[in-house]
Amino acid sequence: MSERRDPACESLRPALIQRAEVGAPDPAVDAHAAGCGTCRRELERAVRRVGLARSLARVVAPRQLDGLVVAALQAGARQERAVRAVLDLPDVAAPRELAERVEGPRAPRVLERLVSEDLADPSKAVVRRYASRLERLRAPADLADRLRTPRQHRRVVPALLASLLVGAGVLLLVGVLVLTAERDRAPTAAPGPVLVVERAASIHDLDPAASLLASGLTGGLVDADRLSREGS
Amino acid sequence: MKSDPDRELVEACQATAPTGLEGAFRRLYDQYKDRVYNVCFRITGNATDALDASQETFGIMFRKIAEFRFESKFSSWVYRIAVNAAIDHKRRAAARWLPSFEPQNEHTRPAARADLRDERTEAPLSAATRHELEAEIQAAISRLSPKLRAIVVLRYVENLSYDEIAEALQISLGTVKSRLSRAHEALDRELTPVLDRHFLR
Ligand SMILES: [Zn+2]
Repeated sequence: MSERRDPACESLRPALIQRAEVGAPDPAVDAHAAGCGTCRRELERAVRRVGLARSLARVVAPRQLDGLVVAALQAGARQERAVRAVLDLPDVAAPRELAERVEGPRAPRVLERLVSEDLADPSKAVVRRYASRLERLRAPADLADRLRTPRQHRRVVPALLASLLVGAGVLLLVGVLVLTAERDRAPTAAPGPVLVVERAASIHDLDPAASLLASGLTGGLVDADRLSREGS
Repeated sequence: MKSDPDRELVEACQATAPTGLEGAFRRLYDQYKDRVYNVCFRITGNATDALDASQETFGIMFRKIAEFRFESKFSSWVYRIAVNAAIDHKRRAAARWLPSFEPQNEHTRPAARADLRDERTEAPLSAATRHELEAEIQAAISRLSPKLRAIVVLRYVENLSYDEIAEALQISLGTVKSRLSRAHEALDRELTPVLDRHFLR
């Protein structure tokens, strides 16, 4: 019966089921059902449901059950005997010495404080407890070494420096050559600059102007190299 | 309870501790084994679980019989133990991922059965149709909730009166009626295809 019933039909339902079970007339149910199609149909279906449920065959206990019950009884009796034997054991008072020897572990006093902290403000207590447990980290030995010799940090890789120096020299030379070519192409010949080629073993032995130009071109690497030499 | 038909037997059992199926225990067992097994079989839906639940029922019954004080009929007490054992057993079986209902076959069919006679079915049913119909009804009952299943089994399989059901399940008469009404509603949903097939063609 999935349809929504009238309250009058609903209140009559237990009586309707009894009417279906017994089969004998019930004036209240019969009078209502005579005027209510829903209940008339429901009574018909209830009679059939009861019929179906009652048609289930009565089954007979299998012989196997006897053995199982005997086993259960014997197991129960054994268990009961064991329990009784244990309960019947005489009470023996523990010697006083035992209490002295077995001084049970006592709860540390701090436990009381922790419990009251938890009760007072649980979230704060948890934060405090776990924050205090965070591991203290030690600075690695490497850090001290690094602080002791700060300049070593800035030491420039020699190969890089050498290539930058060669680059600066080449640029300088190209610049001079371009200037010379421009002057040669000029229609009016004017007295040109004197080109002096100077060979130096190191960039620091150059003329200060050339040295500055090299320093500018290398972004200060030349200076850094000089300073590190002076420092070490 | 003044006139419990089992009083004499129960008191004889209470006078001695149960060790085996002898004397008063044997007689009480013979009197209840089919009723207990029926309830267990219809609630669990299969013979294996029914056997286990019946064993448990008699185990509890004989262990606790000394505590029985005749505050209800002895039979109501036994039905209560059987219903609880069967429901518990089915619940445990479901928790172990066993199928809740085994269709009837040679292995699960109970050892013997009383003759099925249903005067309400209009036409005589063949044995095969009757078997099929019974399996469908059992399956429908097995799909009900444990409470509704118990009340259907006690009312229509065991034929207990409303008062006896109230006593066995320890509920009021009003609850018996409303629960039975709910059981009918649920059974109607479950049995509609069966009703249509067997009655409305
Ligand atoms: Zn109505």
